[in-house]
Amino acid sequence: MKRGKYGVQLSHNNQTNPYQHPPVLSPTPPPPSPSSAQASNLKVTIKSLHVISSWRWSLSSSDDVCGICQSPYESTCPGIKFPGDECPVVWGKCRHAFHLQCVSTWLGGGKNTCPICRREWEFDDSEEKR
Amino acid sequence: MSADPRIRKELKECGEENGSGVFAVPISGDIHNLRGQILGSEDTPFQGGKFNIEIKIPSGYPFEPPKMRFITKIWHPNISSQTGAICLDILKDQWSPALTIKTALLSLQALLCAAEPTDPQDAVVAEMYMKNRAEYDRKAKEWTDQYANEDANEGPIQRICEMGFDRPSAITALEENGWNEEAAVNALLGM
Repeated sequence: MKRGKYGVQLSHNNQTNPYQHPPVLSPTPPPPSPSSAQASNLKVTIKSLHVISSWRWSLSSSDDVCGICQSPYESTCPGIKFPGDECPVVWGKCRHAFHLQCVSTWLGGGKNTCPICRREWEFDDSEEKR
Repeated sequence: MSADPRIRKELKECGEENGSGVFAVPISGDIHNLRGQILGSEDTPFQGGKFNIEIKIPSGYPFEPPKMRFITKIWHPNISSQTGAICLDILKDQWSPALTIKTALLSLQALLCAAEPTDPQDAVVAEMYMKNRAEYDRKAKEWTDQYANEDANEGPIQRICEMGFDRPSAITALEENGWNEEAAVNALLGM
């Protein structure tokens, strides 16, 4: 088994070392030609595809973690079960970003400043729309 | 909303001998009850001293500041010479959840280098600081050598540890009882 170029797992039925003869997957395979298929001993059968994707918030900040809960932005802040839409990242006009629930708890405690730069906190909606 | 994951993460980064001159460790495994320590900076009367700090993490942390108090006696305008209470804005209204236990301890270390006698916690010390700086320096150094010199007090610490108490608890009990070994043991035994 070898991780293919496009994130698929390949299994093949010949005995050659896959590292010496890597099967090639092309996004647009050439039309099958009976003569060339017979000329090659290599037969590739895709038995299963295991597609992996990853996502990240598009942040201009160089930090990987929310400055309040110190967990990665892509992770969740305490008390939230699922990352992503349930634990969104929000920006202030000062360009600092936090988990929505984290900064809401801070602002709900009667403070109106950015935890990092102490400037008055104003949500920046324009960044979210990018 | 529990801050325990954040506290554990912080403790990993400010364990003993992390090279920054400050550290914090849990007492008896309780991550809300810590013992911090800061080293006195060079070229100050606190040079060579190891100052122990009682740190209590409130349930509202990190939206509320950690509660800190010197358990090592210290002669400084912004720290009570009687109770160890600290007057430092970031531990009060200027706290921010972006600050950490480590940054708070580093701020305390900085406070030892730069006192604010106009906003004192201990009026007697502050008056001496402003009116007779040489006498202040002499007394601050005397207290450092007497109370913040853990090596000189290693004997009692070791003996109490041998009774089965952990080191942070032994040091805390000794400091709270003016390094009187018998009184410290009685306190630990709840007598």
